Amino acid sequence: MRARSVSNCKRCESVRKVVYISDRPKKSGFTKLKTEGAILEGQDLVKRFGALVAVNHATLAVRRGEIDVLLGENGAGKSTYLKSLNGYLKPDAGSVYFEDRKVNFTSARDAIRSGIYTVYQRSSLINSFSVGENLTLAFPGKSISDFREMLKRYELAVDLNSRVSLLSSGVKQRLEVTRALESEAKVLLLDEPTSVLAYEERDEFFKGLARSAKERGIGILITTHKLQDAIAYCTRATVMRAGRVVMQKLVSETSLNELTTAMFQTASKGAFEVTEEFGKTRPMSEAPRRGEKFMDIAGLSVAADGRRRGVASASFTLYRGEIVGIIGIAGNGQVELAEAIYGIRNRSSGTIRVLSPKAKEGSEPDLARIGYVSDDPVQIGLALDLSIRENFGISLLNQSSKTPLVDWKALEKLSQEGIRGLEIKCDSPGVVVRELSGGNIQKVIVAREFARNVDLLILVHPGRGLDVHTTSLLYDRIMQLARNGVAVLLISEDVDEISLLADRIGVIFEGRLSEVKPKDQWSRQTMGAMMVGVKA
Amino acid sequence: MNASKSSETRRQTLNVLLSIIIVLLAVVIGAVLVFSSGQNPITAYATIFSSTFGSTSDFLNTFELSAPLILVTLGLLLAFRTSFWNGGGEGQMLLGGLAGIAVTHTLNLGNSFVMITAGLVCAFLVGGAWAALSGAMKVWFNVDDIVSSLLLSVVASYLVSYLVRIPFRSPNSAESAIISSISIPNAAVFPTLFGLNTSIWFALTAAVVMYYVLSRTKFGFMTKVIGSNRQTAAAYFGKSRTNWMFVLVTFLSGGIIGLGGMVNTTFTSNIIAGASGGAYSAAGFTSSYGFIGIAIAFLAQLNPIAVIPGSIFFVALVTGGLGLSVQLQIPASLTVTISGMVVLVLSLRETIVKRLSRFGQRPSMVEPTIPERG
Repeated sequence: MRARSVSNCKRCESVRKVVYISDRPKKSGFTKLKTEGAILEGQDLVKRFGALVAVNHATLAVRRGEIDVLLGENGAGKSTYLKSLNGYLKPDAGSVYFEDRKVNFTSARDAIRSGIYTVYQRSSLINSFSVGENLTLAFPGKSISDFREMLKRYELAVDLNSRVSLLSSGVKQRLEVTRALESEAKVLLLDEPTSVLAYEERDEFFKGLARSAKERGIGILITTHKLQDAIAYCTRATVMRAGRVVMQKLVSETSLNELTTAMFQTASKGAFEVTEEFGKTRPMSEAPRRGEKFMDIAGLSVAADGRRRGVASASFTLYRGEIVGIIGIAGNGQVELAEAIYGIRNRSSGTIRVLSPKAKEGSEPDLARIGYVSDDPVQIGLALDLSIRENFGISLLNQSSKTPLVDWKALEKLSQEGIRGLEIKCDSPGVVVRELSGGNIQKVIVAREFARNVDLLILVHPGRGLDVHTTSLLYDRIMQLARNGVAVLLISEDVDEISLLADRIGVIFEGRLSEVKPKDQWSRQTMGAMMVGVKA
Repeated sequence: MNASKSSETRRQTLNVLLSIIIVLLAVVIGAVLVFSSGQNPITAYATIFSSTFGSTSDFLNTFELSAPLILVTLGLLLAFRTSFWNGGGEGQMLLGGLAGIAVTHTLNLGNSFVMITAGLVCAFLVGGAWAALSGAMKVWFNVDDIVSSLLLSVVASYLVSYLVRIPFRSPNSAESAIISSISIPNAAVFPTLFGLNTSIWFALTAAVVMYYVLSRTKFGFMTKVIGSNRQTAAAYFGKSRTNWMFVLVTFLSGGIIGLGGMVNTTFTSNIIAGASGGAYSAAGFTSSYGFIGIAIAFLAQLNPIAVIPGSIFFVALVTGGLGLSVQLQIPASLTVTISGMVVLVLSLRETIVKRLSRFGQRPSMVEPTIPERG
């Protein structure tokens, strides 16, 4: 009964809203699209979720032949805006115009029929199908050789027989973009495309996009919080903050500083400033000091399983208080390497020895003493249907209580601290993780693994999907943990991240790990060359 | 804090209301079926109500009779929480019942406590082992658990049919058309305590214990994690530990259902061999509790305490339904039909909740809303 009255009240409110809008004086003539050159435009859109106003009277256009960018931190309303444009969500107020007429998409599929394609962070490909089968679904009339050509045109080196579930997130995304572009898209909306793309893939990816935009007059809008990409590849930037559009400018007329200020209000960029000069920036006054040897990895090999890449004879040592960075383009075996070290993937040969005074000589690693942030926390790491508190319990169960009973109070406290530490946006630790936004889901697993007492912390792409501000908090904590004597293994695709944090660095390419050398023996050029397989 | 707490209680109230609405909807659909068979549905439901809740003694009788169903549902609930899709409750219950009869008959002691304990232990072990077969096959051979548990249930029913016909056949049924097993010895029948049969005290205790174990202990919590994402559980609890825990849960699930079978012998006293070799009808030993329990477990939102009222309601339908078939010639399978409707309507529940709680936001098209099994 109660629910009904709430929903009634809600309806009244939105009815009032609509009346209010139609009461306004009509705009002159029939020019519905306010922006010149626009193909898709949201005017004065409002979207509420309960008490939260996710999008608050925001107007934004997508222009033909351009790549425009929508900037904002986690939870600023970027994804909600895209979903209100493409029919996935129904805006509570405001209107969407497409090619000179007002549209009322009833579903995302409806928008796709009009030529508006969206690629989300989470892939919409069918995981259990092969690449070829997924393409056949999208293009029933085309043959295998057509597909081969299609992939070639977009420089996607994937086997048509590969199962999609075995592809890296970056490749999946490029495949989805390819599918959309080949489907005669008029508008392409990309939600956080750069978060899953490897550093070296970006250039190629954006150039391909820009070409398609120009040649076919497609309007492209991306959301991102990676400012460098926005500046390097996009024409116009719109900044959202707390649901409102706070800035709209040509990228060429703005600066990194101005955009950051608009995104975060406070002009602070956090403690971490990415500089062009490689390897010189150490944000902390006090760098961690290398302690005793913790783990010896010798000749570690992982057999390629299905179509996942194997690892060939990787050797390196982890020390307490030291951050080892392993960098490589997605899909070169770094995830398999991390999983083998953590112990959830079988190794075909090689040894992992823990050299802790407590552990027996040469013993196998103990899961309880290793923290692990996986490549894809939704699959491995979290349980989406459980609350934040319960998710903290997954790896903090024994640390928070020594008895056979769960200490819910202790878990509540730990999760409260985690929520505060990484600024997870939620009502309480009782919120189900599935209801959080992508960036906040990533924060949950990172915050949880940070809360553990461990000897070794394995972080696979920990900053994925996080905004600049949270990333700086994350880097702070990683450095702090290293200072406290934790051995850290950081797997990343981001040269800046690695150069900022790692003490020693190794590059992985096609399953082969280079020598892990101190940072000052690397340069951006040699690293980049090795990442794409060119011998330096 | 306060705001979130009140929204949590609001959601819970909503859930309880929804459960009631779902049951009412199923009852209405049942009424349509009764009507279509030419009977007055109101008379039918009134007959059921008066024969099960009409007087204090009727109610207490119904309450007592719900003991086996409570236990069976608790076993299923534990399984579902851990994503073990136990479709073989019928078989596990039958085996538990037969094990109870066989053991107590063989022991044939005078001490009631020893007899009942022995019967329960054996019923637990046999039911558990049967379900653990499905669990082990899922974990180590990747065999689908719904299929294996359901098919093993058929095997169990033929096995029991053989045992009832040959080794444990009642000497009295030699010439009778209905073949039944020997009866449970009097010493193994649950006695009465504080005016109620001890079996209901046993079932209520089991529900409370399960509630405590699931919500408070590490074991209970880990089963929930395994049920929600087995890969995550394997990554943080260890793979072999997760596998063994899963098999243990399947064992416990089958075991508790087996207990339900043993408890049921107090009310049925023996097992009647199914017609055509093995098939057990709704009126047989299990009364389809292995299936009805599925509906109750989900109706109770996998909460062990909420299983109690749910079970009482369905037992009323079952026992009242039996009366109906005698008085009004309405098939007793009406009950199973209603529980089937409950499951159907329940499958819409998530969608309904989402619509109500997200106010206007569409159910997602791209992201799947149904959690994957696996």
